[in-house]
Amino acid sequence: MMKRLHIMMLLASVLVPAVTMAGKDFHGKFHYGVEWGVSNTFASWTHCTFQTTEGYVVENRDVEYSALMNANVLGFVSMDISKWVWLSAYSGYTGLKKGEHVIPLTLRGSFALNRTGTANPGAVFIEGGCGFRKGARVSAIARAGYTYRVILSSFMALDLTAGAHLTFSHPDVYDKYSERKVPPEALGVSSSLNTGVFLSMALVF
Amino acid sequence: MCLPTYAAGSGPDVEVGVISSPRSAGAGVSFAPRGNSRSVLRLYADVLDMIGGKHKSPGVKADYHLMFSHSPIQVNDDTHLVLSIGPGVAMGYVSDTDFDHGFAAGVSCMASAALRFSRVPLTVSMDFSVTAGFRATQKSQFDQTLTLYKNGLRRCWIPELTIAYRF
Repeated sequence: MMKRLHIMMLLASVLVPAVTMAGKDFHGKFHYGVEWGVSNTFASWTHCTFQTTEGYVVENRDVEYSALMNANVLGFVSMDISKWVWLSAYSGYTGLKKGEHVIPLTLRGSFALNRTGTANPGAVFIEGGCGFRKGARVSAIARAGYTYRVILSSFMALDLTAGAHLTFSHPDVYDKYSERKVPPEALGVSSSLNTGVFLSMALVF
Repeated sequence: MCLPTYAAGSGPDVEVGVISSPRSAGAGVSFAPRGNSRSVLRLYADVLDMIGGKHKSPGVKADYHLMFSHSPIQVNDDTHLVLSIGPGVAMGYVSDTDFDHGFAAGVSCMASAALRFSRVPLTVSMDFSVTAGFRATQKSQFDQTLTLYKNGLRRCWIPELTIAYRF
């Protein structure tokens, strides 16, 4: 019950200030918002080593192809550096690949495609940061793409974003002989280089 | 779904939108203003508990609501707020608190707060819907159950965000 109450309060804290700011110019220096969407990591190059319960050392290198869709739900704050450059800090919950959901912390630099900046729709961006997951090493996240901004009102805009992502993560490893997750003390290397595409939309206040 | 009130014949007849939420992802259409009511038909994937990884595959759900709203509240020069509520029906092939999918059907009610913009023909709405119904599952020929569709009631607090284009 308290969790639900907290979420409702969080929603209210996002939306109420936005509505009460109505009438001000949207092109302020600071903005905030929520972004959500889907991503597909279509290729992963994995490398792992571990020791089996019988004492053998197993090394595995593999390329995985997947059509699995992951979801992203992120909150962000952004600051306009100039009329055509702005920086945004993102965090929330995102899926990197099958079985790997992380809490990302990333910084995005957006560059408007014309000199009037955020008044016009198109911008390209690059983004980098890290992802945190319980019981795993920190993952690296890099993204790049294009954002189309629709200014809905003087206090609100809609961003439509498409791009590609490249992540370096440390997935859980399963022993295919015992069909169990390899415990940390038996795990040597576990790394995965993942690439894919994503689509998202965002409400910006 | 966005549900602004229009005088008959004066407003747009059709709105088409995308629904996104931790519980649903899909599309909706609202149409045929008649007096102060508006029909809303939605078809969406039931993705409840998929983000957390509890469920691996989505269900599918459809609902229809007849929404009633008051006159729009002017927020600023280019934005109006429309609050609406209405009864409806819902059905689908969905999972519940267990892991199995099953056919569910019931009566429904939806409340909506929509921001309608005049700069662009878009409406952004936050909706809450509750479904009271039953769900039938069949694990085998001799293992069939009919239970209350618990998630329709327990998860109604999760908002659904709709971004709709007004034609």
